[in-house]
Amino acid sequence: MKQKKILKGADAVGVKVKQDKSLDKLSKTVLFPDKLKEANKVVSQLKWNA
Amino acid sequence: MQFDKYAPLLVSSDSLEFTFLSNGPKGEIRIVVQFNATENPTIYNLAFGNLLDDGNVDDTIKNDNKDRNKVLATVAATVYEFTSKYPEKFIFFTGSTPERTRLYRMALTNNLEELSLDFEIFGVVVQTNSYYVENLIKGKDYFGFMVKRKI
Repeated sequence: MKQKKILKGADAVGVKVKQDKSLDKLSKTVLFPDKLKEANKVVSQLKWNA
Repeated sequence: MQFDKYAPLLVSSDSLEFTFLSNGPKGEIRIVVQFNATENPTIYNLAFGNLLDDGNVDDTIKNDNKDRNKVLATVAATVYEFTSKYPEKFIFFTGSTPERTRLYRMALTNNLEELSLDFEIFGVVVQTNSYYVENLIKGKDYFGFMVKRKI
């Protein structure tokens, strides 16, 4: 069976990560709606160059 | 990226929101980073900006806090963290202005060798009302960028 590779997170590039549950309320909000709108425009017309 | 980074990096339970404090001549500025699912569930949008006292955000303001590289390196750290949890997702990002998009291109190309160890890195070009993804070419202008963790 193929072993799942453990991928390094921010701590492996020298940044200490601390979970902050107060940020969870932001998860229900799109903080940058204009950027998301632009991203949706891009992904809806995205093609891969071979 | 071999630059100083801000710590601690605060992260939400789902690893989609991050904040950290930028510290420079203009004082402490709270930066917020958010990854949002797009209409294509395999592609997430990355955006970041200032978190204002009233809870709003501003991704167009020029902070002039003399820590541009440190902020970008910390945002890059959020990409490591996000992709350690969601390695199968692509991340799309572009600048709020052409200047910022060029800055991101420089940050990617200046660190391409190191970043390529962990990520597939793509440029997005606009051609005849469509957006094309290609492997990032140094020195070429792009509308935006996409990265995906190498698994």
